[in-house]
Amino acid sequence: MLLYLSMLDTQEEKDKFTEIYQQYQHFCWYVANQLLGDAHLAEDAVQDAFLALTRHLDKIEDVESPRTRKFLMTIVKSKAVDILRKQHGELYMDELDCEPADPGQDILSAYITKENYNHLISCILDLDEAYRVIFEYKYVHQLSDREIAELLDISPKLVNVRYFRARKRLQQMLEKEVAGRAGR
Amino acid sequence: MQGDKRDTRGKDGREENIRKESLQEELLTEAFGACMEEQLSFIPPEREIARMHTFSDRFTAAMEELCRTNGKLKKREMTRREFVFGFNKIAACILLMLVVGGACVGGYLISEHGLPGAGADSSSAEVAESTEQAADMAMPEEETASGGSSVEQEAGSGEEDAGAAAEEAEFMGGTVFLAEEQKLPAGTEEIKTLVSSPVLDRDAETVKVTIGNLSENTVSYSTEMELQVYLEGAWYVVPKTGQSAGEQEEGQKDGQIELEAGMAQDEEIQLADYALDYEAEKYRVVTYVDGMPFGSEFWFETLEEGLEEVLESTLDEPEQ
Repeated sequence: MLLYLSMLDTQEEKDKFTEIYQQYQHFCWYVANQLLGDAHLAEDAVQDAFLALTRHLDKIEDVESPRTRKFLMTIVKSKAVDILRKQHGELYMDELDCEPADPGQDILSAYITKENYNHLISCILDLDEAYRVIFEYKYVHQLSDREIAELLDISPKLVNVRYFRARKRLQQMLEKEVAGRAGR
Repeated sequence: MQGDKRDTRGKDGREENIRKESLQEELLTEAFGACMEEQLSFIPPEREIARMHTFSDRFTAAMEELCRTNGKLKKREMTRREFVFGFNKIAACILLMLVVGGACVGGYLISEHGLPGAGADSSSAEVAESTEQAADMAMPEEETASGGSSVEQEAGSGEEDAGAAAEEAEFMGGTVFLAEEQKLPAGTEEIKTLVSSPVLDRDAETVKVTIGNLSENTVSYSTEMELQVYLEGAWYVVPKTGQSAGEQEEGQKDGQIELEAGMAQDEEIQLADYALDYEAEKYRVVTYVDGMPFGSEFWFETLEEGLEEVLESTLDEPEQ
């Protein structure tokens, strides 16, 4: 706890951080544990999440608000995903070599319609957390690639790569979902 | 007229696209928000989770350790690559300084005495003579210190002659004692220690030592480092000043810090804790890694001052 406090500048920030930590530490652990299925690794994810939060405290306006709860959930999920990746030896080498996908081939927008809203919800619920967190950072928390990169400790280019991969995956799922419903 | 219509159609198309994109963005925001709400609805209240899980001792201990170092541990970590790069940079700087210094002195000597020949022979003879004189002067001291014991001394110079040095010496109005280990490596193939800068400004408040673990195993080092000064051909331990030594005893005890494979860590010595002679030839920080001592040398001066001194000393020598 004091580790994080030493990285904060003003007393106001320290108070805010303490409040967030006390209010959400167990919640964060629960979210991480759901993904990792390991209490100790979940603690590591919580540590990483709070460490990342010290640098983005300005993005939290009201500690009690549901937005804060959502924001913390996304951060801790992304840290848990990082741990899972490392655990499985996925050191992003493929991503480092990968150029961002061609936006011309991206036809996800064609599926994002009011008519397909329920399909979209169903696909998002099935979407892998690794992809989901990128969408959450971008659309729910309205963060830029640079801000996401800082939180994930990766380059903005890699954020872009992951975002286009996530779009591609969602697009594939939606195509299947929509085609499946139409066939019935 | 047709041009105007095309412009209007183009403008409408663009507006339509923007509207569509904004609608899609809204839909994605809403959909992901709704899915998060659903995920959140399955999470029990904070108190209930607190009852089902208590943070482990490992977690608590790790936090305490981090608290003890005030978070510097996390901040200071650097990769093996960064460490090697930094090490090479410092080595290159030292080499450059030596080359520039050598060139200046060499240039001066050539301009004063012409090309080296007989002059060089005489200067080497002078050096040999002065070394012999120094050895002669050191002998009685050695005999006194060792109580006339028949310890055989190997012929040599510099630090190798430390066996002949006095057990204690006067330094900054106090007494300093001979260091147990005189010859210390700055590192091995697996462990490296180096000071942030071998030449410190006189107003420097700290001297930073980087300890690098290039091995494949975790090592531990002592946070308690020693400052030693080089006096008359031997290393002596510089004690902390009275107040800071007392504070240290009352405060934290000597701790061991684990350093993972491929990692490096910075440690600092507060120079205010010591009475220092800026004119002393050199100092070194002694760090114990896995119980093995390593010495990183530094001295106080700036490059310009150092060169001036070298030039002045070479100017004085011919007159003597």
